[in-house]
Amino acid sequence: MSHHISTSVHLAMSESADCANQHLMNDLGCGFPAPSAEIFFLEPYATFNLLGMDFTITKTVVLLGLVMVIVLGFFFAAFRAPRLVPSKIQSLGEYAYLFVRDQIAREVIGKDGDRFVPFLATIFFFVWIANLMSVIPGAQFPVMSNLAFPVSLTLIVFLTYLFLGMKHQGPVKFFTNAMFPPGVPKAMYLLLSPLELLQLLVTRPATQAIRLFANMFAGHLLLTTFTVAAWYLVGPNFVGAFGAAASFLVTVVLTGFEMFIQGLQAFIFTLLTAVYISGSLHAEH
Amino acid sequence: MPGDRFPSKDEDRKTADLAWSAVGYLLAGLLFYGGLGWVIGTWLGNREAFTAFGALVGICLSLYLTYVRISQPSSRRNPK
Repeated sequence: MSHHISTSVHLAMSESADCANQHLMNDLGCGFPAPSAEIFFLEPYATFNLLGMDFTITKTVVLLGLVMVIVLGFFFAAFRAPRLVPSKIQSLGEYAYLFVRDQIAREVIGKDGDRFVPFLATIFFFVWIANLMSVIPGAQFPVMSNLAFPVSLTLIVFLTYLFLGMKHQGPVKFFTNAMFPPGVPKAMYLLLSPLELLQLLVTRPATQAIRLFANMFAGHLLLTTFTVAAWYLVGPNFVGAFGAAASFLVTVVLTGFEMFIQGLQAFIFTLLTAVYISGSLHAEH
Repeated sequence: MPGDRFPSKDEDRKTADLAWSAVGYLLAGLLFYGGLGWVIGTWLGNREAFTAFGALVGICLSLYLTYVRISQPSSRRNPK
């Protein structure tokens, strides 16, 4: 039995050695190399130890730095020397900023929303450009598909609305307001208050982070699958030509679809941030 | 007044806020009462049945909570 297993393992290994360049049409009989979660574990470019902390520089880290430079650079260029008659880049920057103010801050928070526009705009453009890295040639990796980044962002948002809630409603009142919503029969509070507290402190930040992470993770996996399929199917006959062309076409269409999802997810992440801030500012009595 | 036939802006906002928290409520109900069922089941010796029952109760309670909160008129409607 163990001999049988070791033979099949050996076979699989020798097959993968021959299948470095997989195609359906060659004689090696290589299976389709379906991409798995492994594609999200990147080879580190460098590792070093600084003051007792281990640092691993991967593509994700490099892209994160790039995103920061792009967002900072764009807004710096747009608003470094603002003029009454705006230059092209200034009017683009104004348009971007006003979009967040009118569509998210004023729409969700109301008239108090204006003072949160810098925070919301930073989050929106940072997340959006980080997502966009998924389809930029050469980069082609969504930063937010690494759970650590959405979690860090969500933690910033979480602490912000926790602080705002305790400041505007009182340190204890904030939690009791959330735990005892109006309109619930007194006896039901015993059953429902734990849910309100759990929703506020655990599932609300968890769903916000996971929504962004899972969308970017799935999108990247989808694009990789069809790209690999196009390469795998290509060959000098009808199936090879037609299959590869169809798969490539799907990749192009999905790339467009992904760009839509990237913008949408950045918008939703920012919208939720605004919704939670709004909930901290105005209590339900 | 003609404006009364439509929900106010604040009312709209409240509905949207609740729609976004519905997933959080469902998950909270599932985790809390499923977890409670798991603890009781471990204690009484029938873990599967109690966990499943707890999860169902939790979902029912979170649906009820969402229903109560959405049928509640907003206090922000007429700020004086």
